[in-house]
Amino acid sequence: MSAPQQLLIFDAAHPRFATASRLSARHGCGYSAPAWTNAGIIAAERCGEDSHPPPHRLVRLSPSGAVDGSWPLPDCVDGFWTRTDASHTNVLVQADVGYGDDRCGSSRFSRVAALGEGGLRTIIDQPGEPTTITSGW
Amino acid sequence: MAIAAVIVVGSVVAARHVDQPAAAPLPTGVLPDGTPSTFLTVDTRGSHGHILRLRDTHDGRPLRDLVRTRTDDIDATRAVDGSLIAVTSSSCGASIVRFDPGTGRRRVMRRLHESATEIAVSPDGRRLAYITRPFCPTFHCPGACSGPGMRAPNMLVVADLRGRGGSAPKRTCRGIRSAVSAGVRTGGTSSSAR
Repeated sequence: MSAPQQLLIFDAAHPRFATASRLSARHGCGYSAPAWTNAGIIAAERCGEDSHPPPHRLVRLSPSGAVDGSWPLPDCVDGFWTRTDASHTNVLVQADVGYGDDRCGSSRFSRVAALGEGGLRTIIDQPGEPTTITSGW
Repeated sequence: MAIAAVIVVGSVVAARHVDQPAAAPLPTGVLPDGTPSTFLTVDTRGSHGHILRLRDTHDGRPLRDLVRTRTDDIDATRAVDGSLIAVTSSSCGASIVRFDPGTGRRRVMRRLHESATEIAVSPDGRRLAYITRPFCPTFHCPGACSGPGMRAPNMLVVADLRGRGGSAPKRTCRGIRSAVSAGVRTGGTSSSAR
């Protein structure tokens, strides 16, 4: 991965890149699509040599960056979103699966899932090109 | 003055393109596993615009259409009190609408002179954070601020939702530059592997 993506935690009152704390993933990996919950920071982890590898698992991080939970994601994820509910307890997850003409192009669907106290549960898989975007709870 | 006229027209167009389905109380329950009983999606209807839909968290089936637009983008989220905040956004304007959870009735809270996406409501429900773009400086000052605004860095804006029907202050050239320098680039809440 050319430039591993870090998570930045800003001071809400004085958001500055220079003073934001940074959470780095393990070597060769990066984070994206963060959602901050009461239980920790949820983010998608991407690993690989490609310039922008697909995420392969959801992780839960402590504010210091320690991984204390993870959930596998489908192969060949393209677009990916997370949204927390108003109580910051549950996370709505959307993974658009399938891209290109090779192995990852054979099956395309959009998965909407809920991550909560019971783990990661698929709500619905919609086949075909994505026409639905999860907005929130 | 010219830019002010363009912005106002954009806001009016944004408001006109929103349909209003019938009002009814919004579900606010939770499932046995603790997840909210409903969630929100924006469904694209090809070239016919977008629909903000309330869906059942159990199986994803649509329960109700809340907002329809012909061209504007839609984003929505719930506040702690159960009310639903929806934003319809064009390239040069946006409307912030609040749905009362008890009646389902909607009220326009603010009209903005800029786009607004990736919204988030503060825990006290009084402020709304959104991402926008400094898209208009080309008309103001072709020197330091010129260039294709849509390619400029995104900005994080926090708007006060209190008050009624107000408008966000028009940005000046200096305001845009300072906001960009202190702004936050997006990319954290969505991403693409391609």
